[in-house]
Amino acid sequence: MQIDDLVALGIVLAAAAWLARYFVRRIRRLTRSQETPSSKLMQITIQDEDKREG
Amino acid sequence: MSERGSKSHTIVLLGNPNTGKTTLFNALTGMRLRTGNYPGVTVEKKVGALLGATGIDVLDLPGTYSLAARSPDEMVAVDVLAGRQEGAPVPDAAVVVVDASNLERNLYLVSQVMETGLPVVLALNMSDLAERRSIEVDADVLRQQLGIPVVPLVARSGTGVDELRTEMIAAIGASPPQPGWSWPPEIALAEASLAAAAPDYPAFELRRALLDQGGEAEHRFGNVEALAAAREQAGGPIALQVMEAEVRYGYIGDVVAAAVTRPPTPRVTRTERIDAILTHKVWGTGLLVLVGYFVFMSIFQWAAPVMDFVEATFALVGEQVEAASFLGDGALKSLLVDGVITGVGGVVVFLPQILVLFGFIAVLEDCGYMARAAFLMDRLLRWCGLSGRSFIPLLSSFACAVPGIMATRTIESHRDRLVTILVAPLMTCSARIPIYVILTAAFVPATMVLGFVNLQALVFASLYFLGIVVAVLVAWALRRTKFRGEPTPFLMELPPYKMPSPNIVVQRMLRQATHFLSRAGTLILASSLVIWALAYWPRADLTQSLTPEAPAVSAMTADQLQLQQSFLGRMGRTVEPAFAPMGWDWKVSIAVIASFPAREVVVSTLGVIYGLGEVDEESTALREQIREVTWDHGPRQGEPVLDLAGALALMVFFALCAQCAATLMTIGKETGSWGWPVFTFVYMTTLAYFGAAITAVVARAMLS
Repeated sequence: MQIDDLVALGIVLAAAAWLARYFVRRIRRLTRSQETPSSKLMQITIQDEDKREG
Repeated sequence: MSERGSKSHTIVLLGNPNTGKTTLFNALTGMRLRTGNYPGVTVEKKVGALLGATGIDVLDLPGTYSLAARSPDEMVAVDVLAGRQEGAPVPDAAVVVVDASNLERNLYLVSQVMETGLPVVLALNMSDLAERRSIEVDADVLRQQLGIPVVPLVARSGTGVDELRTEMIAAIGASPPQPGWSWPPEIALAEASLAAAAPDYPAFELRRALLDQGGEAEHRFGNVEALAAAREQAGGPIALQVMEAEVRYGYIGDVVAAAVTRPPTPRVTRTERIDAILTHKVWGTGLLVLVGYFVFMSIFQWAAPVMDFVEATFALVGEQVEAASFLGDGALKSLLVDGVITGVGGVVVFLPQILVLFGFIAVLEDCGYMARAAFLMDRLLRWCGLSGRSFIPLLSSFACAVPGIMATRTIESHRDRLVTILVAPLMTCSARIPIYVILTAAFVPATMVLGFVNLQALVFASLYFLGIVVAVLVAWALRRTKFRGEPTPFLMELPPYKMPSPNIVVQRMLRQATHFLSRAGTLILASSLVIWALAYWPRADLTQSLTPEAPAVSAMTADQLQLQQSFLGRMGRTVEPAFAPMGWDWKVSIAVIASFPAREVVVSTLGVIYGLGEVDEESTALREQIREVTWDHGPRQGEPVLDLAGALALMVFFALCAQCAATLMTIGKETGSWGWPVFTFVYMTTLAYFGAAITAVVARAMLS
């Protein structure tokens, strides 16, 4: 493998690592705060609406 | 934006929707939040430091007509005022922004905020508009009547903002106002019995729970039995609501009678005269279609010269790098030319289109036309079981579905909200524009239909229309199956027309451009590099393959053969049969698969693949390459891969497919369930697959 192949491979691996980190971080951030006040409220009220309408 | 520093005081900014709160917030803090001349622009609270003061934060809250919260965004306002909002401290004072030309309705909220126990300052915004309508508001009398500081101002021009800032600083530590009205004994007694049942519950929220039947405060209070008993004691929930309205409006009536002078006969305003046409069932709808067509036509005609220039610049940079001898002829040069410049450049060339589209949207929003469009769309939305309230979130989704889905928090009915969330990703977001433009420009002739309609603009507009029609049909189906129930009535204030502010328009365009370029510089760049690597390695020894003894492969260039033997080529050949009904080769198929995390990746992927495959040495523009690429294997070898039918199928696929990880994650966050993003992904991908296959078959039959 030539030197510029190695440099290119290094750049690509860095990009792939960044991409993986980008998606993992987004998923983690959302799963951690998945239950927002509004989402919880929405579920409760839909259940209430269902009950009211039988 | 919502990062909090170590500030010691917080002042809350709230008011009715469309009273100019965000414009005032920007003037007070020097920030540049997005503003819009229609209700519902601010969905989450925003924080900024007050200019000209140290240690004071200003919180911009979503617009609300009342503290009787009926939707989650209205509840944010109550929570912040009560000091219960996570991440926000108990505020030191509240500034209520009111529309001086519409004081009666605005003062209802003021009267409720005066009961929270916070010092209150009244920002009398749009004083110029009131003046133009010959409405005189005596700020001094208003101040005496209400017992709170009143500052007349025009937030858009900055008039009166300094005076407001002074009053805001003075309000910190000041005494809360004494409401000038008294409650009937029935309410006082009911409150006392409720307080006995929940001794530690804050008095202000207790009153809201008592008065707002079916509201968010009632849900929060929880003790249904105590609440029912207290309401019965006061004559029932309806009587309580009537009493609250009578008390407040009685007081407001006296205040307005003393402080406001109106012309004896109200004039027909310019806005009313324009609305007679623009909200007309026939003329208004016709004009809406014309405005839409004009915008799409402009995207093609006005943006094209700038796009050509950007394209030529990237081509020139590519040539310079290609010619650079110090880089050698190995992987590094290919990575720069075929990966970075072709991949990222292929997406960046669409910046002019994005700027033109969002420039138009900003102008239409800021002049007040978008609210009329919502009014006109209410009929269609009601047919499918939604209301005009869904229009603004759906409209926001034309830029990006993520803020659109977040904007659904303004929808009171939770059923309507969920249905709107599920169909919002079908609206044509800006990430779809590159693939639409490239395929339309490459395959649709730039001819005129009926002598005046540009065919390319018509196809482009039809793709937007397709997203809307499918969204309406899906909403209709959902409202008749899983989400049965009556649609809620839609009440929306039509703001007065005004000249769009160049500042606001330019800010919106710049914000969109920054978002687009930052994605190109991060997500697209990283994806392009990974795609390049998969298409570049492993390197094959081609000397054997390209001999006259191997005629099947000698028709291909060395570059094409290398590409076919790469990791990406092998993966592409594996998935190619799945897209056989559409007639796409492995290169298009793999670009479609690669774009599932973010749909704009398709253009950069095709750019990298065609760059490495050297489709045509002469044509550097992707739209030319995409037209000239031919099958490199199989029975159709040598024939063009994409024709008009294949391109239409590809555009339909992108119009209907859920290719955006961020959107699906936002749906998960907003609905509190991973089931809904999975449902959205499955239904949209199924629609996209069959929609594209049917389009390819029908278009081929019609065009052959």
